[in-house]
This record gives sequence, structure tokens and C-alpha cells, in this order.
Amino acid sequence: MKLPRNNVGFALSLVVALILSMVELPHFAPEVLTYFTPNFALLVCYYWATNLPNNFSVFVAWMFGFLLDAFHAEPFGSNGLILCVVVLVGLNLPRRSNRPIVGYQLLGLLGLVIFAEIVRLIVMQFVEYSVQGSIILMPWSIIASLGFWFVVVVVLDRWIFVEDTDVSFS
Amino acid sequence: MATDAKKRFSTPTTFVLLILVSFGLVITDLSGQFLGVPRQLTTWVTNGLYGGVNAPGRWMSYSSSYIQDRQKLLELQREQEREYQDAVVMNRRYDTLARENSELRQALGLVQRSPHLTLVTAELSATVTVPGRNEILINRGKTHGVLDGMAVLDTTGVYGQVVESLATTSRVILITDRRLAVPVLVERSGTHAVITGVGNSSELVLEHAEITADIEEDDLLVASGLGGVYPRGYPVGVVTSIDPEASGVEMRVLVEPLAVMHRRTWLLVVVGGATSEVAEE
Repeated sequence: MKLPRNNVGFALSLVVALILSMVELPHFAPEVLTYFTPNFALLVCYYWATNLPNNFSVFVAWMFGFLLDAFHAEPFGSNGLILCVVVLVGLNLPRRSNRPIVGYQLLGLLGLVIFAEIVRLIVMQFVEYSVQGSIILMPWSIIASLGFWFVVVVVLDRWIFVEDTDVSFS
Repeated sequence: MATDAKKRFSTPTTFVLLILVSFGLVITDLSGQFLGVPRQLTTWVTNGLYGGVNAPGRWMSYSSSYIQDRQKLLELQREQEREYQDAVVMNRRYDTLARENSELRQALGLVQRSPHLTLVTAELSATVTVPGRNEILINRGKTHGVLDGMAVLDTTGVYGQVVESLATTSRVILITDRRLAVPVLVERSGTHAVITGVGNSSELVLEHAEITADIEEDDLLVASGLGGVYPRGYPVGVVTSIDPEASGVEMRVLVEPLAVMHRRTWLLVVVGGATSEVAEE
């Protein structure tokens, strides 16, 4: 019963993250809200990698990144690369009683969000003529991701069932 | 077993492999040479999913914009109706002003063409609405030199006579009133006659016209100047019909006044020079 529950959590959270990343704001929403776009996929993958390191596979994260590339018309492999690094960091966070230490977790998240934005900028520089707009919006996306992290934690903590196992990769 | 399987997918080798594959894919995709077909396929699939995911939001946006647009349209319609009413009122005011301007220009022209007449411009103040009395009030009185008995003209013909002059207003009896008689002569033949009103604003009658008098239809009647009230030669009316009376001695001659009765705003009072002849206008 433990594994299916977590698997449902994986699947549901990834699907919701995918949908949220595709949803457009209605036209009557304030334009400023479009600046605050969290990186939903990164947050969900990071959560599962830090909280269920033995159940969440890096291959799943990579496949999910591939899907994101397809949906967002970004170069194939870019989101897979980012999510691989996210899982890598998530698995290697210092832990206490098999749960990540919150301070390290937040610090890791900050670094990963910045890393993701930089990788995206570098990749998009080859696709778009100008990434000036993306550079301006980058701080707002980082703030939004950090802010939304607490929502992710509160929601996914209801699904998680932590197994008493060691960290699989370090 | 499942945990072991996942552990296998999270080995350092897997990471390195996947990161290398990612780099390879990014470079290949950016080169734009080999991933065209997969890109087209995924775009085709994801477009449909995008549409499905954003359908509720778009429906909400459409609904709200529909409601907002309808409210805007109704508001716009009300505003345009108000503007239309204002425009109609303005248009009527412009018409009135244009008519008054035309009358004033005509009056000014008459004054300039008749230097021997001393004329005072007067504006219609009120119309007496008592039945059988064709009278008006004008905004000129004794302080402006307007006295009892003076002739009142409009730019096309004799209009009436001042019967009561007050300080700043005067009462004018129109030539269509039964109580007023105007001495005239037929311009063509020089025949003298007197016309009076019949109480109808479009009709005058030539009194006691003998059946042998040289008067024909369409003859122009002008003021004869007798009595020294109306300027000699100023148009009064045109003969419209001539019918012999039953007695066989006289005939009934109807005349249409040339002055535009009840439709003038600006009039001219002859305060001097009425005895001189009006130049041909």
C-alpha cells in the first residue's frame, strides 16, 4: 500500500505540474502576474527527490523534462538536463531521520532555481534573437518559485509516506 | 524489487548518461537538422493538449469579455444617444442662427440701399394671441425713437404700423389686421387704392376697387406714400385674384402680402424719411 500511494502522488503531482506550466492566465488577470511564473516541474521533482530519494527515479525526472520540452517547444533535452541536476542535488542533501534538513533544502532550491534560469537563458539565446526580456523577468521567476515551494510542500506532504531507508545515491 | 529497480535508474552512471544524452539532444535540436519530424509530431500532439488545458480559462475570458463588451456597448449606445440629442439641439440652434443671420443681412442690405430712410432695427418680442387681432410686440420704444404711427417693414414688404409706443417696447398692428388700411398704388398702372387686412396672414383685400380700375392679376402693389406713414414705392403685395362683385360696380381683389407674416424675428421701424420715395430695390 505504501508504494502505490507514493506512485499516485508522483503521477498526480507531475501531471498537475505539467498542466500548471501550460495554463495561460485569463486576459482579465493583472499583467504583473505573468512575471511571477514558478518553475512547477522543478519544484515537484525537487520535492520528491529530497523527500523520497529511494522511490523517485532520475529517469522519471528526465522523461518528465523531455515532455516539458515537447510541450513548451524548447530544445529537446534542456529541461531533462535541468531536472537531472535537480534530482542529483535533491538526493545529496544532508538529512536527519531520512528527511532533508530544511535549511539545506531551501538553499539547494535557491541554487537550483537560479541554475535552471541560467541554463534556460543560455539555451534560449540560441533560439531567440534576444533574451533581454527573459533576463529582466528572471528575478521574478526565482521569487515566484521560492514562494510557491511552500505550497508544494504543504500539498505533497499529505501524499507522502516516508520509507525508512537510506539515501540511495551520494 | 521496485526500489532496487529505481536505485538502478539513479546510479551515477545513469546521471552521467542522461546528462550526456540531454546535451546531445540540445545540440542536435539547436542545429535544426535531425529532430524536425519529432518536433512536428510533438507539436501536433501538444497543441491539442494546450487547447484542452486552456479551454476553461479561454471560455471564462470569452464569457467575461462578452459580458464586458455588452455592457460597454450599452454604455456607448447611451452616450451616443445623448450626443445625438445634443447634436440635434445644436443643429436647430444653428438653423435658427443662420435664419436670423440671413434676416439681419437682408435688413442691413435694405438700410444700406435706402439711405434716405432712417430705420431702426427691432426684434420681435412677443405675438399677441388674441383671436382677430394681428399684433406683435417689438423691443424698441420711445427711447429708441420709435413713436406711434410709424411704419414697420420687413426686408420684403410693408409689415405693419406702430400703434402704441412705450419706453422700450412697442405694439405693432400688422397689415393683415382688419383695423389697418394701407394706401397703395398699382406699380404697373399707377392706380391708387387702399388695402386692408381680413384677419388672415396670407391675404389682404383691396377695398372699393371699381370694375373699371386698371388692375390685373400679378400686379405689384406698392405703398403710395399718402399720409406720410409708409415709404412711397415700398412693396406691399401682389394681386392674386380679381372677381366682379354681384353689384357689377366693384370687384373683389385679393392680394397676397409680400412681408413674411409671423415668421420674422427682425423688423425695421421707419423713424424718418418715410415721405421720400424708396429707391428701386
